[in-house]
Amino acid sequence: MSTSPFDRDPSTRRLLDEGYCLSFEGNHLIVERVPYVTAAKAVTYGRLALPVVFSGDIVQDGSGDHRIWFIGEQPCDHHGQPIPGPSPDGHAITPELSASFMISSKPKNAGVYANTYDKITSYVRILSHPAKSLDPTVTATPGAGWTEVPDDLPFVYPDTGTARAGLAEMNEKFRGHRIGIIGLGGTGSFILDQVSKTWVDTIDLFDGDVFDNHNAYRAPGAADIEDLKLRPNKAEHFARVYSHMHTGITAHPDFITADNLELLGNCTFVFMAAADANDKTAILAWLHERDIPTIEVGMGIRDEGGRLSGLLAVVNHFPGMSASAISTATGRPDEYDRNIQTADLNCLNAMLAVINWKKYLTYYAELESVDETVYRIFTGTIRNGIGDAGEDAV
Amino acid sequence: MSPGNNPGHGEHTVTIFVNTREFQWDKKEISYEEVYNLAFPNEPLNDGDVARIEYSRGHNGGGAGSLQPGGTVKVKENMVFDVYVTVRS
Repeated sequence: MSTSPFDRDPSTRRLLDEGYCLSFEGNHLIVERVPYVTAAKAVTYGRLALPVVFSGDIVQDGSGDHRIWFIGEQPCDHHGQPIPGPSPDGHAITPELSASFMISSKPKNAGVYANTYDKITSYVRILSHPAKSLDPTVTATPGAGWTEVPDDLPFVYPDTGTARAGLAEMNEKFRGHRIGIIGLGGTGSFILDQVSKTWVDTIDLFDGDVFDNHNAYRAPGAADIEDLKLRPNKAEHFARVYSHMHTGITAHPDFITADNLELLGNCTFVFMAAADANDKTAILAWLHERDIPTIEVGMGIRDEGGRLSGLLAVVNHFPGMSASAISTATGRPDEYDRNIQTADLNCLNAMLAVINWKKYLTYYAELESVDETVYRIFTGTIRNGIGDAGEDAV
Repeated sequence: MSPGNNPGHGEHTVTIFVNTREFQWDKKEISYEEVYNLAFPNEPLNDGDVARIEYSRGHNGGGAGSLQPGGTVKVKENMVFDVYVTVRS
């Protein structure tokens, strides 16, 4: 018995019943074998693609967006003239498959399609009528066919955000990566929150600490009081929570020290978010020696006369960068520090780190590679790399 | 010691902000160590401690940057410094 989520969707069920050939690739519903006419007046077959919206594992009606994408050549009428509607528009579906045209045709009266069935059959008619006038034997309904291409993404439920955004090709940049996160405190937990939503293969969490109430107040989401009562290990707690979504997460309920660095040996990228790792310098040096790119985060916040101020720092330790960056954020918290941490600042520091990571992967554009990013609360400014000090520094 | 009382450079006193607080400074330049001491006069840096010093609203079109240990920067009226040890996460 099929476990396809489309079984419970009346529109796709009806399309299949009527003989349409459907498949599911890259979170798009694909209508296979749609007859159309090329500019050379040849009858051939193309494919229609529609990003699929899921709620959990239930497919939702996609008729609200009247657009659809076409995989094929410029669709033409029976004279070989382009039909109105399709416009050239590259739209990635999977790394191997892209649509080349977007078709926009609203229903004449209502302006919106009643459901996905009406939407797809309407577009199939637009494309296939010219083909049928040239060759009455062609059909868009050769018989029920169902090809659900299994994706091997590390997720519990479909990543339809990517399909909707047409970012499949970009997201390939995360594949094959094995991420280590050292420290699951306020900043590390927000880093995990973002990394777990990417296509990285695995995420290893390292923290020997206990998840208590004060941690809950600087972590993403809302911890359950029943979980807090059990005083779980931080790495195990966050692995359990984020395994609701990403399937490649492993908890290591240990602090990383100079004695167990080999635990990091499989990582392709490491986030260093441990507040007071005594061996931080040794850890960073070990990773640097092995050319394992690392991003280190840290913040310093103080009460300045009743208002908090401070700095958030992200230090990039990437292969090829000078080793001088290694020591930039070392230092010991002094005994006067009240350990002030606020979740918004933790979160911002984590997001700056994640953005730098995505720049390293060339997911985001960057003007030039930088060794650090610093946010200043008082001025509200962000500095990337060496400032524009120029002749000021003497 | 108030830096504003530093003798010998009195012809050019400017207001600078260090960790949100105002200070008067009467030298043309300020060093990493001097900025740190304005911020934390009672918390000398121990061996191995590194504070970050960020500055902005400097010379040459509002120059901004990071002041490194041993380094010095030209001061300007209303220049802003932030001095923190960024080791929390």
